Parts: sequence; C-alpha cells; structure tokens
Amino acid sequence: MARFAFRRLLAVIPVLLGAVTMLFFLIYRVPGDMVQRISGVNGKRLDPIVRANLERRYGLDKPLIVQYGRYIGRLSRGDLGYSYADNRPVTEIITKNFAASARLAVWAVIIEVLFGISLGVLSARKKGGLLDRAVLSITVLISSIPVFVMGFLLFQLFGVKTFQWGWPTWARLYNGIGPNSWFGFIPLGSQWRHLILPAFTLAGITTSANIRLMRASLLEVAGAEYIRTAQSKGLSRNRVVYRHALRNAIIPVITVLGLDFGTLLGGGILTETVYNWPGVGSQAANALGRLDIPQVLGITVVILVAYQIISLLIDLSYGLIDPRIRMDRTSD
Amino acid sequence: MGVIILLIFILAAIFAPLLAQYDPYKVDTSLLRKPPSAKHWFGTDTIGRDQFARVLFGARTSLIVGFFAMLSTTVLGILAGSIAGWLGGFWDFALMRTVDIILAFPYIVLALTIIAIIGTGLVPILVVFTVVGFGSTAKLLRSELLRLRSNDYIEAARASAVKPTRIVWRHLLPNALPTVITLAVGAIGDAVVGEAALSFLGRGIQEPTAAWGLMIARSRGQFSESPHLLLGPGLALVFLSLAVVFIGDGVRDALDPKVDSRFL
Repeated sequence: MARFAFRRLLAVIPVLLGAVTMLFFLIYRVPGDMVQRISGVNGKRLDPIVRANLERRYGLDKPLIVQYGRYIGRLSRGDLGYSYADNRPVTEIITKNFAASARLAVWAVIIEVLFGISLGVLSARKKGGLLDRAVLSITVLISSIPVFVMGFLLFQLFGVKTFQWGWPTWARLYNGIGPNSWFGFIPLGSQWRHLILPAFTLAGITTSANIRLMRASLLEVAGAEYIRTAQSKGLSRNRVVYRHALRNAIIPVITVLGLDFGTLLGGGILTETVYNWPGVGSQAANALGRLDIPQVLGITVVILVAYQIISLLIDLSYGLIDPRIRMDRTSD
Repeated sequence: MGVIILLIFILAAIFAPLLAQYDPYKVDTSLLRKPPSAKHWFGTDTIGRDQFARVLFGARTSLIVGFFAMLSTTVLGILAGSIAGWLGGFWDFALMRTVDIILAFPYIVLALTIIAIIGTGLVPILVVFTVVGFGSTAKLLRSELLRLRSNDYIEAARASAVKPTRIVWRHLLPNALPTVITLAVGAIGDAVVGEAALSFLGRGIQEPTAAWGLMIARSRGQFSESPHLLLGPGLALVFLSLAVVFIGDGVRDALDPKVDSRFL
C-alpha cells in the first residue's frame, strides 16, 4: 500500500511541473507592462528608479527563463513567492482562502453523499414508480440549470424574499462568509446560515449526476448471480440490497464522489463569486483579473496538488470497500 | 424531445431579425426596466432595450459558440487522438502528456488566462473551448483506437498494404464513431454553458452583443424590482442545455445497445 502510494505521488510531479511551466510561460505573455501594473500607478509614466527597484524586488530584471528557474527552485521548497497586488506571501493568502473553500467543498460532498446515495438507492428500488420518475426528471432539470443561475435564484428566494415576506428568523439565509466561526469543518453559531446556500448550489449538479449513477449502478448489479444466490438463501430484501448489492454498486459512485471533491475544491469559482465566498475560487478569479501572477500560479499549484492527493486517497479506499481490489498486489 | 427544443432555438436564432419586433441594440431611455407587456414580451432591460429581441439574438451567440466549439474540439480531438493512437511512440507520449496537463487545470483558470492573453469576444472564446475541450475526445479516441487496432480486420488491412491514413479513416474511425459523437454532443452543452459562465464573469462576450450569460450578470441586483431581467435569458439557457442533455442521452442509447436507457 505504502509503495503504491509513493509511486502514485511520484507520478504527479511531471504533470504538476508541466502545468506550472505551461501556465508560467502563458501568463507572462499577457500583454501590458507588468511593472507598471505592480506599481499600481495608472496612466502616469513610472519613475525609472522606482521601476528599477520594483524589477529587482520581484526579479523581473532577469530573463524569463532565469525567473522560471528561480520559481521552480522556490516551489520545490514550498515557497509560492510574493503576491504582486497584496504585498504578502502567496502561501499566507492561500492558506486562509483554502480553509474556506475546503469547508464549502466538504459540505457539498456531504450533501452529495447523503442525497446522492439515498435517493439513488430509493429510486432504483422503486424503479418505474412515481418517485423514481420524479427523481429522474428533477435531476435532469437541476443538472441543466447553470450554477450561476441556480445560485442567484436560491439566494433571491431564501436570502432576499424571506426577509421581505417577514419569514421567521430561522428560515432566513445569507450569503458571504458571515461570522466565519468554525470548529474544524463544523459551522458554529449562525455560520450555517451562510454555508447552506453555497453548499447546496455547489453540490446541485454533481448530486444529480450521482443520484443517476447510484441508481444505474445498483440496477446493473441487481442482475448479478450472487444477488440471486443471496435471495435464494432467503435473506431479507433489505439485507440483499444493503449488504450485497450496495457494496458492489457503490464503487463507481465513490470514484465520482472523490473526483467531484477535487473539482468542487477548485471549480467553485462561480459559486464563490455568486455568494461572495472568500475561497480559492474567487481568489483565483480576482488574482487573474489583476494579473497577480504569483497568486494565480500558487492557487493552481495548490488546487492541482489537492486534486492529486484526493484521487490517491480514493484509489486507496477501494481496498477498504472491496478486498478484491488491493493496490499493492495488483500493481506489483 | 431534445431535437425539437434545439430546432426551435435554431429557427429562433436564424429568424431572429424577423421574429423580433425591435432592434436588440436600440437604446430607449423612456423604457427603462419595464416589466413584460404586450409590446415587449420579456420587458426591457436597464437601458431600455427589448429583452425578447436580445434573448433571440443571444440564441445566435450561444448556438454559434456551441456549434463551432463542437466542430473544432471534435476535429482537433480526432486529429490528436488518431495520431497518438496510431503512430504511438514519441507522438503518443507528447500529445497525451499535453492533454493530461491541460485536463489537470481547473478549467476556468486556464480559460481566464488564455482570455487575458488573446482578449475577450467570440473568437477567443472558441479558442478557449477548443484548447480546454479537445483533450477528452483525443484521449477517448486514442484508447478506442488502441483497442480496435488489435482486431483481425485491421491486421488484414495492414498486411494488404493499405495506407495508414486510409486504415484510420475508413476502418478505425467509423468504429470509434459512437464515442466521438457522444462527446461531440456533450461539447455543445459545455460550450454553451461555459460561454454563459465566462460572460457572466465579465470575461466572455462583451456589451453590446446580446449573450445570455451577460444578460444574467446584468440582472443581478435588480431581481427584486425586475425579475423579468433574469427570466428570459435564464430560461433560454436552461432549455437549451436541457435539449442538449436529452439529445446526448438519446444518441448514447441509440449508438450503444449495451446501455439500456430504462436503467438510466
């Protein structure tokens, strides 16, 4: 297991290096005077001394290839450089925002697990019934509503109308990060009112896909011979479904769930923008708008690494659920 | 079902100038944010332009983006996929690692970076979706080709000295077609929603061009007084992506007899 994990992590390095290299040389092609932008002076010509100082400070006086070498050198020591726009180390900014994104992503995945698996199983068990058809139509509809329309509508409904219509306080929800009080991943106090809308919005599309996948996977497994064996042993229907069928059917769902977690972590740009959630997604959009290159590169690196670690964890988790898949044996 | 909705959108886009009673670009300051009425079916926007006309012309933008993005990702995907799958060796390695790297990015970051370099507007958006999207087609096609090329009929074709390009074009591609078509339909949906998302973030289609994402972005902050600003473009976007989902499901069921649609 450890050997497999180690080799998987090694394989991440070339992809990461390639991505950083590509983004580095792409983003320095963005037209415009970089130093002028860093200085924040608009329209006026920059004093040559100030310019020279700034160039030296950010290493911009060296050729691009030298800058690249230095960046990679720093990166290998875990240093993401200094932000152009915020005048702080990039790691510091990302650490703060990453927590917000991770919390949002964790709750979105929890919603996905709760609704995805339960509704998927329920739908499969009542195949062709009213509930099944309702679930299927609703999931198609939800997955067709773009995140930013959904987010907008939900916020208008629960965040604005509830106030206007004078609903009880508990039914009113907010956007933004709010008091930002957490115990680990658990929202404290009224924090949940700020969390619930972005979490559901972020989870909406992937949850719909998961419900359908869970349903399809369970129905596929239901035709297998070991299910018939289990049934003919006289086991109760619940036991057959939950102990025999679900354990096998859930594997593709877990794969997708894990990948979703990675995507949600970095792909929350739209949700975070709609709800003013201060995570890495909105930070990325912000940094790109200001062409804060160290920040953009740093965020990309962090998201890529997080994604790779998650997919490694998923690969390892297969062994726990299904003893037939044990990585150290199959890969050696 | 999906085809019918899509057809309605295509017709609406083609005949937009005939269907719209108003010029989508004409500003009328006497008609600011008017709710829907018999004269202006979807009302008017913040600077008095007819929303219905703008939704119709927005369909043009969306469909053009969707269609050309589908075309370019598919063509580039087929090219890259068949080069990698057939030639193997260095080309396979180089192309597939490039695709891996592109797919590893959070796609909006890559999209926004490319847009920062080449500018906003219709053509840059198409470039973005081509770069971001061709990878999945290329990857799937490559694995299909690798699976297919070990078949006896390919061996027979090679033994009888059929040119490699002909083998790929006549023997391999037709067999890999279901995969490619399914992905191509998906690419339309991705591009339509993606364009709307980029326009929503202000980095896609720019004013005064009519685009749904842009209109939705403009409606933010006005919803309480003028919900109609969101309704037109929002519903249009939802219906178009619904249509693409339906068509995608239909195509997959028709082309892949193994998947029983009743189970999905």
